[in-house]
Amino acid sequence: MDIFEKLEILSESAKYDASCSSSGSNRSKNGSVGTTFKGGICHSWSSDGRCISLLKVLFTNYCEYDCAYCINRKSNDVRRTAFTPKELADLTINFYKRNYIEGLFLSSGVLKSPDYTMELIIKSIEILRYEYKFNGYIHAKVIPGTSPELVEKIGLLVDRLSVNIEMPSAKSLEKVAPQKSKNKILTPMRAIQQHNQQSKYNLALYKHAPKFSPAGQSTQMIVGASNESDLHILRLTQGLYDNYSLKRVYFSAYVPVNNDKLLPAIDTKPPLLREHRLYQADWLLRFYNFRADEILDEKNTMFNQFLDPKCNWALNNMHLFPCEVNTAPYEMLLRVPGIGVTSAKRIISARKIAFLDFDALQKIGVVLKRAQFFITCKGKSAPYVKIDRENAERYLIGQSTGFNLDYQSEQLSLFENRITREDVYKCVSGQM
Amino acid sequence: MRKRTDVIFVYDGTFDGFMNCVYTYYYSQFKPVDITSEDNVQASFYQQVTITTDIEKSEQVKKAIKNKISKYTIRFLQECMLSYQKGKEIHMLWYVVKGFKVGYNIAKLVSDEDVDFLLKANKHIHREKHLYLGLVRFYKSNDVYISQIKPKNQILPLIANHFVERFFNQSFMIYDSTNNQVLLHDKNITQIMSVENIQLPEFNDDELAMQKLWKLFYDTISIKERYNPKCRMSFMPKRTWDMLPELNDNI
Repeated sequence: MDIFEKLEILSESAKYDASCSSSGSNRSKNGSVGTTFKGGICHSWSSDGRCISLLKVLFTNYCEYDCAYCINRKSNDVRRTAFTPKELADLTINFYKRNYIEGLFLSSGVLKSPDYTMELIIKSIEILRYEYKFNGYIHAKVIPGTSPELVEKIGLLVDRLSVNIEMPSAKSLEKVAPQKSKNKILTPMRAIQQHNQQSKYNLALYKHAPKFSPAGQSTQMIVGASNESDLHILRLTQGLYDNYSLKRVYFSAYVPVNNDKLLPAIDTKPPLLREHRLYQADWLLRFYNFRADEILDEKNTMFNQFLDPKCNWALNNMHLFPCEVNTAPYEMLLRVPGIGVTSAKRIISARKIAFLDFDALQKIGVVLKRAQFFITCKGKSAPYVKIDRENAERYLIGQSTGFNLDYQSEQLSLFENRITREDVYKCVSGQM
Repeated sequence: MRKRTDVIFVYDGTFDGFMNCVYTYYYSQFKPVDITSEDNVQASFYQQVTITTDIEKSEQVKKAIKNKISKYTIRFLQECMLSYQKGKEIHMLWYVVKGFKVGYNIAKLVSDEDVDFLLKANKHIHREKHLYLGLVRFYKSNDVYISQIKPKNQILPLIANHFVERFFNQSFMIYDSTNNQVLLHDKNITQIMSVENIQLPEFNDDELAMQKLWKLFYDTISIKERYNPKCRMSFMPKRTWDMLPELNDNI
């Protein structure tokens, strides 16, 4: 089998791994090929709009496991192949030198046993790192059930590790992936966390202490293949950030590939909106100091279809608004829909110099079409905006659905003479 | 005495030239309506005043900016010089003039028209710079890695360091065909030069195979069920496509 066919088969199966980030690590060494860039670099975008920054492939798609959701499960009849460590290293280095990619993302099916596969993965990475002096980004998957010694060994070679949690609950994992278990996934995750913390501690003491997975670890779960609620998934995500110090949790909308009675029907559309809402909430957890129980609660366990989680929270907590942009603390600014981390920081620094009005906010980059319902500048709300819940909700939903629900118009009346904006202008400019 | 406002400053297009414009503004009776570089002069009713570049005066202005505004302002203005946007020079002049009054806080005066213009221009440059850290595509020809890009701003000086550090042991060249500049690197020598009409060398079949392999990877990695061309276009505008082998239909 030539390299073209191998690459086709092995990247075809790797495409469902959502992670693509190449950030968090900062390597540069003389006499070697490549560097890593702290913020990560995207090198291309595929036709589904997802970025390509790493050469995302499986080492092999031979697999001993029989996970219902996976195209490469043991009981499926598909073309199977494997790279040799040398082939993979050559391919990576050739792509890298042409600036096609930022590094390698290596995952694998389970060949013989988790440990045997892990050793093959380590061998390919060793060729890259030692023989080719490759210093770019490497992200490796840890197969559930790998022994702790191998986890330690691979962590010292790569920039980021990840163990996929696959399903949002132990029960559904057991159902669809009989060979995997909660324990087998969480044990390596804990080991990576501990090694990583130890290595950070050592680095503070000794400058040249080896770095263990400097860009931390991430994980991924499938959304829409089992019946957990959004609240459940969000709580789990928060728990992973709090207890396992993960860098990212990725969600992947379930794309049906197998016809299996344990899973939704083969013609189900991937729940893209749900995935999107989960990512929005994930951002609120990581950057906006929200907690899962603020975003959703026992009464509303699923996300609002029409409103993003932040708007939804703000509308339910209208008693906290409007907030005065010129005096509100940073934490409060962050909670206003339409103000993000960047604009909140800019507001803080700009308001020390001059009072901010709506014009200045627009220039700062605040999304006024959302923020206007929740803020005042110098004690005044935006012109012609009434700050109340119904008004804001109607307008915000109108924006997201594309229906033109003008927030100014109430129910039309034949006999009432409403004063419009034009009338006011006419009056002011003296045309009336 | 009131200054004459019906003039245009014409300078040589360098940063030192611009510094001389600032100098002339303070030590002459002119208050220009616009500043243009020699290459972009257009006929108009305004009187043109040619500013000669004098390094000594330029150093004097730089020193004043460092002392009265901040050291960072020099760098900020140098970056703004790389912008493709018309009228950047006149905004830069008012930025400096206001800066002398306000001090180092000038960069935070976001509601000001000139400050806003320059902050946005600067942001645009840095966005484009970051985009091209990923979108430069080399092809190999006689052991030299060659690439052509078509950015809007002059980003070569900003991306040079990154590529030199990353591919230090590799001879490479990046040709910016919008601004007719080329970045050359070989062993310990790195330089940026202006060029006119250069002919880039051809590549052989081995290189073509590598590009085919990359295109194959690009096509297989996308999930058909999630096809979203608009999303792709917002990250990777169409004007960048013709330099990318993965989007070239002939490969």
